[in-house]
Amino acid sequence: MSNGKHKYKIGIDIGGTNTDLALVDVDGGIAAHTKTTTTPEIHNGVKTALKYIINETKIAQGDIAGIFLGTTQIANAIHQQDDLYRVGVLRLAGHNPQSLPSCYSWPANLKKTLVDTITIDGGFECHGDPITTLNPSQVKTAVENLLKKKMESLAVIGVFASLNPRQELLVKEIVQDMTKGKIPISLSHQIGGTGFIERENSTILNAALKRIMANVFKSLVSTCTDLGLACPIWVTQNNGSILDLAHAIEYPILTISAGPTNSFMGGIKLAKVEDAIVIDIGGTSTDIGLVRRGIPRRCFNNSEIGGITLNFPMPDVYSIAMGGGSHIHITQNKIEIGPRSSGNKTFSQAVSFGGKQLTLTDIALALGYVEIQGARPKNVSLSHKGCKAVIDEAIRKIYELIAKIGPDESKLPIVMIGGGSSLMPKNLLDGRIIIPPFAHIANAYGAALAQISATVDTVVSLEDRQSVLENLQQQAIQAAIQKGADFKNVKITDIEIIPYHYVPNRMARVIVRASGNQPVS
Amino acid sequence: MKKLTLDNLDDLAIGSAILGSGGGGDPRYSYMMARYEMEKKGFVSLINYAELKPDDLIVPIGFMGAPLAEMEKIQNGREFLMLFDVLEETLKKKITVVMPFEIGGINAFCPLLVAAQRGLPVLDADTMGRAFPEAQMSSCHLMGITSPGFITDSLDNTAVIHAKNSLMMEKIGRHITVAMGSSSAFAYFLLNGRQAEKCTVPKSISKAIAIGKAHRKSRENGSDPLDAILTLCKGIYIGTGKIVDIDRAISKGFLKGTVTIQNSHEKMELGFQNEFLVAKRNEKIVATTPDILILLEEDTGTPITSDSLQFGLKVNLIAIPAPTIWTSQAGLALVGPRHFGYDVDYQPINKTNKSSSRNLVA
Repeated sequence: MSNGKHKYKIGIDIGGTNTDLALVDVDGGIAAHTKTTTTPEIHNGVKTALKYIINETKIAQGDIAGIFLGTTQIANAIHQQDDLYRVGVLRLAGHNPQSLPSCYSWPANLKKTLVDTITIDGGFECHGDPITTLNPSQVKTAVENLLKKKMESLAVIGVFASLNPRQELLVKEIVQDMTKGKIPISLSHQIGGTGFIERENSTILNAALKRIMANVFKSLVSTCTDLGLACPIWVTQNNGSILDLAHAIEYPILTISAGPTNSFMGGIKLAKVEDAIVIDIGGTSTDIGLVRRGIPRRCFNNSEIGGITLNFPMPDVYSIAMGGGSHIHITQNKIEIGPRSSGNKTFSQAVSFGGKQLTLTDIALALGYVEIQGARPKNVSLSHKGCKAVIDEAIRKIYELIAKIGPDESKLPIVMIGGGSSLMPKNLLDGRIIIPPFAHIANAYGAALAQISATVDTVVSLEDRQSVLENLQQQAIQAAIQKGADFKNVKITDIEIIPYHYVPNRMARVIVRASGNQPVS
Repeated sequence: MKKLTLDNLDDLAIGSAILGSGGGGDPRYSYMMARYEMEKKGFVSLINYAELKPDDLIVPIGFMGAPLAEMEKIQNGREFLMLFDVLEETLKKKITVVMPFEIGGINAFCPLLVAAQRGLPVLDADTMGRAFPEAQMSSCHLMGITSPGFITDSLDNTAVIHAKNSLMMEKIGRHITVAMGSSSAFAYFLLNGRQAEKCTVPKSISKAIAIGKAHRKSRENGSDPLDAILTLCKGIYIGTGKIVDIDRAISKGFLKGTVTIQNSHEKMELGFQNEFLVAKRNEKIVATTPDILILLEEDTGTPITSDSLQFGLKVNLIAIPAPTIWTSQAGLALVGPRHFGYDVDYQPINKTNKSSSRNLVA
């Protein structure tokens, strides 16, 4: 497999509470790992983790084939509305739709990111003809007007651009030329999917997030450079595959739900199963999801983030606000765990660490389920019986979550991972629960194993079904190889065919995805 | 007159999707468009048959086309205004009332949109009482209404169809719609105030809102919306299971197929052509069109359309009775199972399945 040049991959998961790192060898084994607190400037935490691994293992910088990052930072940025760009919107739609303004259903505080929407000629019909042809002088006038309104980032959405990206690409060329590349441009077809409004939502959000995510990613690059790591950096995206860094800076929205995907994938790989219910107990929340044949189950309903409907599949995750840092409140007959959590301050605020806050971690320490260096479980004043009652309540909540996955999955193994997995007693559900080795860094491991993939999402005539489908599969495979997947193991991982009705020539939307590993050499 | 306000729209969206019986399209976009127009004034007037004047010109309207095309080339918002201008000019008569052609799915919201724009009242009725795939499957056609048909698109093209009969109007209109990019706005079967009560399905809008409200209330209370719908509509529960097979294909412009739903001891098969049409449980027919067959996602009670069926999804299958206008011999000839090519007779749900209770499936 290896010529001995690159021996390892590094998986990093930057969560709200912890930054986890796994050093993974060519055979998928974990050679080293660490967990550190996520810092406000996230590259500091990453730097600490990387330094630790380099010092600990004495690996040569040249041994690293790539760094694979997964982060929930982008979701946090949306929730906190940090440092968003002011976005101008260009709709390429010759029929001049005024029936719905941009950002119509958005929460008021996020709506502020929208400068204005200008509609110009362009767009395609579902059968492929242009609605009207694109007019470059309209593009220029529109962009000038948006710039006058202090637009900082441009979102371009063309009707049926996912079917034919030509006009959007031309707009990019024109705008780059006139602004000398100073205005970031987001094109809707890169974000995929039919459904004009959801694609527009995703594109605008992407345009708004470009500053903060570019800063985050760039600071990570300089961190790696400082440490002498010259290997490529990859970012894991929603569907469990990876983007190169340049692409992630251009399209940060594609990385928005990478967190749960990484932990679910890491969980099943560590447990060496293909089908499982995966429970990820973190510092502030617990997520549960279902993995079938190695692929996380997707949401049935449209995905939503910060009150905005988006149009790409996200893993189907049930969450509760309970984790290792969750605050415990005991009143007369009631035990409350969370929703407040000490998060990344658990190891200073929790009573076992000299703080004042009773957390779920304290309870597990007091019951002896877990030992943590430097902890003083004796600080916990709650009786043994009381602690038992708290942990029983936590277990009840987890069982409730498992029940949500459904009775049909009642024979599947349950893989428990995440920093909080060690807080639970070991014999739950008659041994149906597997806590695999390295469970606490499963998400970083999942990130390291993410594959390179390419998706072809288009509308075609299926009159000549066999050859059309074969052609699309070839396209997807070629695209994946072009993105860097190993031609030796790239394969088709997903085909979805959605027939159109009320349209002639057996038109259908076809989504084909090909994935493969990064070549090891 | 009642006021239909912004507060009713969420309930109408759920109710219309449920009455869509798997077809009619996801009303998400038309809902947002109606809301956007209605926000300016806050409400539209909803009237009943007793409030009609004999010479009212009542216009049943809707969108026609591929739901996916409608969600991409979204309406420009002026289609119905254009349509109404051409219609009034052609007939030399003022439109006084609008109504939904079809209460199921997307089209429930069309009259609200134009009513808000034009300040017209909306008649609390429709011409299907649910969703059906073709325009002649309308109570107006059943009751012998004929009129020119009007179609417009988002690029200001309009067609006026003087067809020999309703079947030809449907055929011609569909071809025009394909030429228009598989998305159009239409008005068929214009009525006057004397004809409306006899020729349409009463109280469709308020019924959809009531279903949506019952659904919402039970979700708020943490109970299953399914029970509330069954009680409200006197429906039957057919079964719960997981989608284990979806067989679909496009035939003559319609999405046709069968979805198989399985639990530990039952296999249910649901045949569809846009709408769900025939339900079998363990090889035995339990419900058929025109009764309204409904699939709800088990966890949230979200109604599922035939184009969003998903392998592995857990669903409840229920049925509620058809509007009475369809259960006559002539009605069944138009929309009964045989008309859709199924070799079975209509089996009214209130006469079968007495034994089926939810408790059987645990």
